[in-house]
Amino acid sequence: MSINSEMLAAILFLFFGLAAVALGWSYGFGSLSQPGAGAVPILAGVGVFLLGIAQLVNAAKATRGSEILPAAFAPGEFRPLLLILLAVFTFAVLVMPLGLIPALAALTFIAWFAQKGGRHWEIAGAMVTSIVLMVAIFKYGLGLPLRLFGAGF
Amino acid sequence: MPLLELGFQVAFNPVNLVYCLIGVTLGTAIGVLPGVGPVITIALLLPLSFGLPAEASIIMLAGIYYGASYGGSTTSILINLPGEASSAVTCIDGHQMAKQGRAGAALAIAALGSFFAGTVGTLLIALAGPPLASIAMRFGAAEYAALVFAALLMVAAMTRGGVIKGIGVALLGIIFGLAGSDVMTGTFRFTFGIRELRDGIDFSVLAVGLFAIAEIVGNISSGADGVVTTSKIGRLWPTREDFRRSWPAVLRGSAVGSLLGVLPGAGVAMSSFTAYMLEKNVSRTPERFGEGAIEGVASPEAANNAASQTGFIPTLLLGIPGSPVMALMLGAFMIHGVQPGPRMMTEHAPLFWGLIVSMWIGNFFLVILNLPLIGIWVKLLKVPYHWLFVFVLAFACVGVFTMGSSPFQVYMLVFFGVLGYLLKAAGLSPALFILGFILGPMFEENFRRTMSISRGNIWVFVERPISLVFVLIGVAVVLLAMTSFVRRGREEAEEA
Repeated sequence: MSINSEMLAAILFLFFGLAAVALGWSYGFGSLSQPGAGAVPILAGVGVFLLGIAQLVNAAKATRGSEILPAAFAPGEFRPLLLILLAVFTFAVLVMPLGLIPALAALTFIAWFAQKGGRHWEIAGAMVTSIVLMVAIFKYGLGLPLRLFGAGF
Repeated sequence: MPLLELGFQVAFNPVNLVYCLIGVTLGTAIGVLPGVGPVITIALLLPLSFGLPAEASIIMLAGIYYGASYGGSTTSILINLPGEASSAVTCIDGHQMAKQGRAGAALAIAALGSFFAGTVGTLLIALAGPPLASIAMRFGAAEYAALVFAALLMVAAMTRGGVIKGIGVALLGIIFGLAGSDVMTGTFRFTFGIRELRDGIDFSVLAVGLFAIAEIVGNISSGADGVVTTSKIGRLWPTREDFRRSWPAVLRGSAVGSLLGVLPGAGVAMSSFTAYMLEKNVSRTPERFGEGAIEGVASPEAANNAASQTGFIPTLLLGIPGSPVMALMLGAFMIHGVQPGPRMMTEHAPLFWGLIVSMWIGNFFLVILNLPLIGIWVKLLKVPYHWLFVFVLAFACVGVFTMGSSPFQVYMLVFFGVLGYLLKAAGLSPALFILGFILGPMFEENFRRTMSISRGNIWVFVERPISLVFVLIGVAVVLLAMTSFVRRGREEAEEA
């Protein structure tokens, strides 16, 4: 069964609502005259949770009324999503040990495959352009102390 | 008017003038570029603004904001592709004019009308500012808490997808906004033992993650890489007849925009649509609308610019942003340690008045620079998205990384990228999430203070008159949103 967007909204509300209440509880609600650190998280959490229930009821009603709700996830989106997140993650992993330029090269390389358009030979061009642009803007334009390569150039 | 004079001194400072120019030019460029809007750009530039002086960076960000709205009108007219909701209406008659070879006149009227409306908006802020600030000075904690409550409900009610989802996502934003150490007790909340989270979630990482990553994924999968064809621009200067038809439309548009811009949530998109409908209703030849009527360009363009300007009123004077871009602007103020609100006008007078005057100068730059540069903007339309998104992504990562010089914030970017994607998939507005995130801590502080002053009396919010008004407004808006009136207006504004 594919999940529709109304149902997904309900799930998000229920999950984060419960989490906020549970964590908020451990911070202490305090009293009405002296609300503690947990008071607003608990109140907001309860609010989100109740809205989640309302949303769930609405979504269920709509589905039962054989209304076709838009699917939450389009199949074509997973590939770009995963590759883009992977590109960002790889950048984070590489930037300290290897430096800015290798991290940017990896980022561009991985991100490139997120889309279907664009020919493979263009990767090199995009890589060089993005490295030149970022180094120019951040290192020379803004004068930030960025290491271009791990060994500290 | 000595304060406006102070504003002129600040805004005409050469450094600030340069940043204003950079802002409007960059803003126009990104307004024209496909798939990159003002929200993403301001989010991306937030990490950079750390390094600049407060005045320069805020003047630049404001320039991006209204420059982008101008760029959006350009693409509406030339290729029938609105960069953002507010310029959607301009497509109707603007693109018709372009097809008739009168794109030049449409662009010029849009620029001149916007400049006039921007001037009206700027004057309004200067005039309405001091009295409004003196009223707001009398606000206590209860009034502030109630105001935040009303503002969030108003925006939630105006967002598509219904009231439940709107309020829910704003509350989610509030919860995330509370992460970090509690100001009153020092308790670490939602930090999960991570040291970097003790100061709270970084606003710019959140903004970049929620907007940029989800937007890129959406754009790639919908194949936003089309080749565009543009119409010929034609003669730039409008005819005498054009001017005769346009000036009353510009006046009406400015009035509509100035009024609607102040309301949280109603904002810019609604104002241009309302102005267009008004123009069509008062016209003696309504049949010309949709066929390239110049009033149909002049009025909504004036309205959206006036609204962009007066939208700063709640943001600057109350610290309550009425739109996502304003929420980002508010974030920029906070990065520089400036808390917008009634005291800002006195405590940060140079910044406040400098910004007001620079908005006016920025509008002037748009007229004198952008019309001659129109050829360059048209070329920008041809940058393929599959190159653009790589740069946006690289910029986001490096920008976020340089804020802390540790990869932690980049990992957070991955987290908020996922969250932004989920919000989008669930039809929840990331803008409202951001609004809740910004307003959450403010609400909490004032709420807790009110409760301890009133010794736990929750009714204090309806016992104090100003606070009662805000509570009533908030409740009324939600009730209204459930009736067809607002829903219809919202749908029309979106369809347009």
